Amino acid sequence: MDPRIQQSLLVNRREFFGKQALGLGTAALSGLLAKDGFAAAPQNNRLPDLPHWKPKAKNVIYLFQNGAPTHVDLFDYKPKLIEMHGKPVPDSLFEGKRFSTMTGNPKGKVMLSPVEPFKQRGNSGSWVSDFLPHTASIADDLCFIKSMHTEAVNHAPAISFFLSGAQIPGRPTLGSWLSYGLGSESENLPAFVVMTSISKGTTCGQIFYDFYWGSGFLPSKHQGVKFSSGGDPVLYLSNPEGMSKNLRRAQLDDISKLNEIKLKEFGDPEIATRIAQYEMAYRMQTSVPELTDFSKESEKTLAMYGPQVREPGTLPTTA
Amino acid sequence: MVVMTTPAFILTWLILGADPAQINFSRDILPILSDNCYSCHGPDEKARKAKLRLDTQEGAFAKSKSPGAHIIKAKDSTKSELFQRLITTDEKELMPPPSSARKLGKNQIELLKAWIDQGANWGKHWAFEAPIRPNVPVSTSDARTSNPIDSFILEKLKAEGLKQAPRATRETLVRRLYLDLTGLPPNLVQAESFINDNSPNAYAKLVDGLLASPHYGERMVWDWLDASRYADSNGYQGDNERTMWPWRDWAASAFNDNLSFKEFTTWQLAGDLLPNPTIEQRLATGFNRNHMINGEGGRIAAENRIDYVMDMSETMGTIWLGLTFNCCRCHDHKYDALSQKDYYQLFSFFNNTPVDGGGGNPQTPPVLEFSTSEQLLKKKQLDSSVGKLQSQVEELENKIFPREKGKKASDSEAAKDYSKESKDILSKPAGSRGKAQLQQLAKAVEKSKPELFLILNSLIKTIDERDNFSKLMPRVMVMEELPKQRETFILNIGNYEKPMAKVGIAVPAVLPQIRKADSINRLDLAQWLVTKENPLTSRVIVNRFWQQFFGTGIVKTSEDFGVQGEKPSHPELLDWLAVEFQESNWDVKHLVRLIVLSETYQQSSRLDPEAKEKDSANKFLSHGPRYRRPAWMIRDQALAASGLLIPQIGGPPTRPYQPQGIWEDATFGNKRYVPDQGENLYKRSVYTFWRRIIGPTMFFDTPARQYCNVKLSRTNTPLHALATLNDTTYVEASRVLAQRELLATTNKGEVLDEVVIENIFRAILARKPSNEEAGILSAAVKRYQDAFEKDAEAAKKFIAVGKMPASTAIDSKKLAAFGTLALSLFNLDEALNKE
Repeated sequence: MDPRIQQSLLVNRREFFGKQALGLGTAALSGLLAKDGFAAAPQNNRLPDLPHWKPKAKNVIYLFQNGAPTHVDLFDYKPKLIEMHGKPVPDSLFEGKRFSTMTGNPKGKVMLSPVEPFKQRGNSGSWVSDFLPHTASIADDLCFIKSMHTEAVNHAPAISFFLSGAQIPGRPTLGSWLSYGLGSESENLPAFVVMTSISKGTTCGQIFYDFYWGSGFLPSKHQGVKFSSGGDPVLYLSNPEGMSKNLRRAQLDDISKLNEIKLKEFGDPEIATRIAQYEMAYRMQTSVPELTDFSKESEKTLAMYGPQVREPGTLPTTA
Repeated sequence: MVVMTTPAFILTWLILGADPAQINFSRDILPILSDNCYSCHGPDEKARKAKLRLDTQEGAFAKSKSPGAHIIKAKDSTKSELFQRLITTDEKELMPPPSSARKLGKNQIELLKAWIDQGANWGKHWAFEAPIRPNVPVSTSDARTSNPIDSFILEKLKAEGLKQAPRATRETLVRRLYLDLTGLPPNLVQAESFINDNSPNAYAKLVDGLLASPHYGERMVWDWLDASRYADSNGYQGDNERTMWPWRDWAASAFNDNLSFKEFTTWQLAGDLLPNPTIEQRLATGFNRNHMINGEGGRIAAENRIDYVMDMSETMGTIWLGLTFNCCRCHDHKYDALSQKDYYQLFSFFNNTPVDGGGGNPQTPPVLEFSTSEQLLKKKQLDSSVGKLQSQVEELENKIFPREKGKKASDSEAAKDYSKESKDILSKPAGSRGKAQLQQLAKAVEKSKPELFLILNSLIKTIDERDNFSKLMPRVMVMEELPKQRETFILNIGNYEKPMAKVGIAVPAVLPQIRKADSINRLDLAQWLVTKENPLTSRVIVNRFWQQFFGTGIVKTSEDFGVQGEKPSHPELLDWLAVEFQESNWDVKHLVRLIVLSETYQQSSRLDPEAKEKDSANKFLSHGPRYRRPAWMIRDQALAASGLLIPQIGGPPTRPYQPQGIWEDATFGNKRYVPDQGENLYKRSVYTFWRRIIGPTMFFDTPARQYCNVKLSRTNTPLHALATLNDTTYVEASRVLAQRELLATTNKGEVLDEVVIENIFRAILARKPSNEEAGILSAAVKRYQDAFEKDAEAAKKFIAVGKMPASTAIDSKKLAAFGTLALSLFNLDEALNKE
């Protein structure tokens, strides 16, 4: 592991997003991943042969925008569409094909040109619609991949395909593979963290299934940990009512002392892991709220996320 | 045997470290062929290269292109192309091709050579040969044995240079056995009565008592529910609530009644096809209907129907046969001798129910009604209210829309100004209008005909009331057979709309066939599974019960007994148990009794340094198993130890504590989680409402119950620690336990804290603390109390967690301190673990 990023055990939010982590969905915590064996020094749990080259990326942030205008209205410029505007859908698009009730049969319908005009942007000359004025202004910083498609006609199977490579649930998802292959460098947070938006309006009312971030046939420690949008970001993160941080510390010290006796007597290395995991739980109780608390961010920073930044469950808050 | 004396042979012998005479095709050779050759030269015809197959004897011993050579020529590796291709230096000839990234190890190549030169004995994959009861090894050591299980285990231990561990202490045993057999810990009286019972059969008495406990079924059924993908909702979007719980209760009672696994199998797979089936036998078939139901708008019914049938067949294939049939949906199996045709012939058995796949009704017929007489009465009353209101609507419409006899209200002169939709609705009798139509009509007449509007509204309200009530009336989806067998086709890559060749109904060709002259059905399949000729079922089932008690199966991959699955660690023991199970008429309690009475099971789980070095994963069972208990059992333990548990058996699903907003978050508020009040908070975990799209949050490491799952997952993460440290259930149980022990001692004059500490400790761990532990605990409780003395408000808050009120007879700071202590103890490794 790169010693430069190995250092801090207790990360703050800034550090975490800035230099830590090498997992999907920003956060990464090898710690979550039970290390087989002992309460070890930080290590990133990656596969021995990986990475194949010195990585530049320190973390992967994958924003999945579920529900949006179509690509032909955003960044996939199709001049032919403009040409054919108002004309009936050509036979070649539906003949010999079956359509589900979800997609509908286009027979007898007319073609529609992009709703807003497209222009070429920046030095790269990428086509971006006027729909996306801000995106258009940073076109040179972006990489557009236009070759992706799914065969699914419905949200859930299509998303499952996007995230796992298969329409049918049960395969490991992107983040799980990264956690499995590259491990993580943070000791205080899970390697693969998922945050979802809960606003019905911006998600087409689509439900998030946990197989979207499942680990499939990989060990379950590689599955995404969902930070919830209301209440505790991680389930059961807060101490019970009336239990102070100091008291919890004292309690964990006592649990640890008793577990040490057991370890000495029984020799089961899993006991050592348990002791380490309880310590990690304690550290998460501190680091996760810091991670998800942006009350200390400056107004200027917050303004960059737009006006919805303080509405829980919206994309700006989650981001 | 061919005796060879070449130096190469001696080398082989050394590498293998075993007598090559013992080369066993299925154990030693088949895995090499499977791992390295079968993806191109295996069962999958479409993937097969050079028309060569090495998974059949015929293919493997065929003539090769080189003159005088065969693919494998027995006793002559020089004339065996298979071997020559492994050692050639010509890259173009080399097998496996370097581009495949597969490569045989040197000793694997030597092993193949030795096997060929010895005569290349061919055989079947071990799991496809019916088990034969092996001789029980004669134990020569002075180790403890109580039944043949121990003899097999000891033989292996000896071969590995390991020793049996001493027996666990009585304190450990009593807790181990109670939790293993009932999922509940012993209370102090129960623990004491065993610990102090000096009769020679004390342990056997305890076992028999627990096997007779009604809680035994609740424990045993959990793994069955995971395998049967039992849940209380449909899954998918909408995730409507279903009422399959009478099936769940039946399954638990079947374990309690010790229904023979033969009947357990036939009833669940095909109870409906038995002659004059009883209600119970039909209820059992709910097993097949536990699959998810997809009610998403736009889904195609025919596609859903195929999904359901696939789920039923694959679930059967995993649970009883331990085979990965799902691979064959799309293609012949890459490793096992299972073809795509086999898959669809098996699919045929389940392809004959009246379910058409349409809609998301969580009570899709055929169903069995399980309502109480009160429920049925109330439903009848609501039905009759609806009927009365419908006739009132018609009477009123007759007045408002006068017309000739035999004509419809919509034909009336008075209706001529109504919209087409309204007229359509009016043309129907009131009883056949849907709710949406009634609403639409109500809107249309709201201003003009207020009296009709009012009565339409009360009809809508009553229909709502009836439908909501009706949804909660338990109806269990069950199996029925269409009179005429539906045709089944091989589906191209499993696609419902791409049928290929038509197939019949049959079990996989590699297995012994069903012997019957007439046409066969689901019942024949069920009965075939539990015949003694079936090489898989008995092994697969005893292996899973073994897994339940030792944490890992004798075959570690309990979900895969195919060529790619792991080999059994103790093959003879597995076969002995399988045959014993068959010959006991598939008696589950007999099997469980054998396992827990064995000395192997009773060993201490302490790891001595020698065992730690040679058998740290406990593959050879050189010590007792030690692993974290399932999350549901940890919750039940807390409820039982604190006395909060409501031990009522069976009933509708309960909603215990879960974090606020847990369903809302996943469903945009469409489903709200409202915890129950009162007793339902404290019932056993097995009754917890299981929502498929967001399972109960307090159970970590549990399958999602979306598909069949037979393999337990066991991880060790901080998220688990957070749950058992902070979940209301544990905090409340800790305080209630402390409260009970404090109250029990207040009447006895001056009582030392040490006594209370010891009682709490024993309630959780069934043993007394050592002096060292007692020292730590009494220092701990003092520290906790000091902290609460400084913050009395915090103490009040802590003891108010949970719905069970705190006793006012105890000082709140003291109660909070002892409650904190109990919470620490519930979180000890020992409390969380099987030990």
